Amino acid sequence: MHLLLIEDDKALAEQVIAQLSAQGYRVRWLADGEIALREDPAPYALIVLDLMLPKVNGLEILKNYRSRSDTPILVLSAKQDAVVKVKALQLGADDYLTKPFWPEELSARIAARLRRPILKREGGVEIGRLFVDLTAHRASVDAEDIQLTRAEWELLAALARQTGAAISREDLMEATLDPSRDGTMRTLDVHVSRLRKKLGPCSNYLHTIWGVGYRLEVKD
Amino acid sequence: MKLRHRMLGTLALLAAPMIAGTTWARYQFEWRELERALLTFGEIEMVDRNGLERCRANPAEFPLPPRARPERPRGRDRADRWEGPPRPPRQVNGPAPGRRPESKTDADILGMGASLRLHAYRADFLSDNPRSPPFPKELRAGLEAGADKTSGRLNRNQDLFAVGWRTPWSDGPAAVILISTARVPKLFRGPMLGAIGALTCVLLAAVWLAMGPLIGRTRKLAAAARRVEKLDNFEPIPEEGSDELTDLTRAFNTAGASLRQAMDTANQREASLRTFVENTAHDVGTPLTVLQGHLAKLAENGQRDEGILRAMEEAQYIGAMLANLSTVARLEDVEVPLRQDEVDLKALCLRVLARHQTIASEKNIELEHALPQAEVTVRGEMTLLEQAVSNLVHNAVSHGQPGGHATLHLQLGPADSFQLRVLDDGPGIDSQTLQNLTERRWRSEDARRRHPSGRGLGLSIADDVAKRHDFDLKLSKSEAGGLEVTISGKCAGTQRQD
Repeated sequence: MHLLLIEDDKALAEQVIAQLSAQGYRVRWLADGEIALREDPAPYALIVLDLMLPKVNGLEILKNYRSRSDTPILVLSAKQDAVVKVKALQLGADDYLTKPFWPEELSARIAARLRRPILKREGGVEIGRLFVDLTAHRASVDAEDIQLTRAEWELLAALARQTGAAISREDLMEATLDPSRDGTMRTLDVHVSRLRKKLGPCSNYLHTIWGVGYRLEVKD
Repeated sequence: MKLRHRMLGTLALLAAPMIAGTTWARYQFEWRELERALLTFGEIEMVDRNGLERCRANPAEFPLPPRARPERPRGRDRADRWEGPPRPPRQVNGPAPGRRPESKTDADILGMGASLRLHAYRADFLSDNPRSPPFPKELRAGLEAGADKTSGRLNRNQDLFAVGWRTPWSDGPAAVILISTARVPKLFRGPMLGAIGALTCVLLAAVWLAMGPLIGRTRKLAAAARRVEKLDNFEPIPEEGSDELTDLTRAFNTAGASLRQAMDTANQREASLRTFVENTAHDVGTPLTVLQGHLAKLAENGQRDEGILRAMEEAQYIGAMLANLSTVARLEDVEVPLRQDEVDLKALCLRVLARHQTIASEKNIELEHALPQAEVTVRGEMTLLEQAVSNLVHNAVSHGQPGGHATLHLQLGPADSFQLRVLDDGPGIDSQTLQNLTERRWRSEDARRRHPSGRGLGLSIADDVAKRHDFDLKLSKSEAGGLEVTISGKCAGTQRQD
């Protein structure tokens, strides 16, 4: 993927280019605001734009790019000033990052913008290699059906209905366990453990959220 | 009490004794005048009109009424209410047989009409005329004490005025003369009361009107003082007239100008300081990012030793301090009200998590999060809220142990409310310290200490930011024994996804 970096600080720019290149991105770097204004934003998958540039204000470039393209723009700001950040978001910035930041933080923000959205097929949810058919009450990994007990299916369905969201243990117990039997947290954890095993290569999709509950999500 | 009311009250307090004194003096004067008139009448009657001779000649019939023409009394003649022995027939009061009627009596001249009476008594206060009333006890005491004359109000209703006169003819039937009239001195008389009332009203009205301009100028002074109090623009008050209020206005203008100048100077200093902090945060932000990049590279290249980790933690701390400095500068800037933008709390949480993910990974702390699928939007100032949440996550990660957990949990509550929890399984804080943390303010020296807890400044700022947004911040022990901080409040608008 081709990214555009507009940053006047050479040391920081070189560092960002090295980091993003190592992750497989192609990065074009522009240090001059006037040159950046003449650049076509459309071909890029994402633009990283520093707001404090010499000659031309980053907000001006942002406004210019947004009028020409829908390319996601991640704004870098060294100031805490809310006015500038709100202005940037109002002008069409998709996200902002305040300096100082860690390289991993920048990578995470870029990945979040470029991440493939979760596909929702008719009657079901596709999460990576896992497909949960909520209508037919079936689940498959790489198109291979997996055999689930009623409690395991209820558990998977509850998580799949809110893919990406953490669901508390209490909510999962209510959705999964038979109220006529003694359902405890321990019982729920056993069901989760068994479900994880049956998911096989997709077992890492089922995340434990410490202090909250569980979440079904494909992590990068 | 208003100034005008106070002035009127004071005037009334001063006027009341003056009116009372004047009335009393006038009453005394009327008394003396009436007394003198009755004595004059007695002397004329007894000497000039031969009353003494007539009395000596026929004491049993004296006196003869002095009236020349009978006068019809209006209403009931007050003399009829005489409380002495029965009166002689009415004609006794008429002109004496053979006496030349006079065109105008002395009594008429005195304005006393038919009510004037004269009776003669011996030295022992007994009269030879059986129709004369007994000598009044009230007057007798004075004459017995040696006075030449005494006077007083008589009768049960005090509606007669009488003078007792010890004459020079002490051995005859006219040793003592009693002269009485129905005209009595009065403390208050109708016309006089009206005059006093009218005068008082005019005086009060004059004071009321005269106070108007003074009160108007005083009000201007008060309004100017209020403007200074509210830090509005101080405009000098026009200096009208040349009295004490003008001096006060001038002094107030001088003081106001000095105060305004001092405030302007202080504001300029504060603004300069805020700008300096902002610029410093900005200038340090880029090189610190580069430094963090190098540290991350070193850690990535396998040089993961204690020194690198400590350096990364310090870099994270410096970054947090810079952000907190800007936040404090913003919180101190009370002249600019908080922005009321719609803030996406989910996006804000993700930014905060990303900022701390690196240091959490390096410390082998699992930084987790749980966000609702629905949008969670609140009203407020984005950077302040972000720094508040960032401080909570920073604390949770900084104080966590390797292999530990820190979780940011955002959830929607009932009635468009939200709850944001940051919890860890670190060493936690005892109850007393928890209490102190909520009471500690970031202005205090104690809050600026990094150790032992190092949580004070960040938590205090978070608490202040929460309060400024009408949110509630609570500290408690997490289930795992660490710290749990909960911020809760109202959403600007939520869209639930069913």
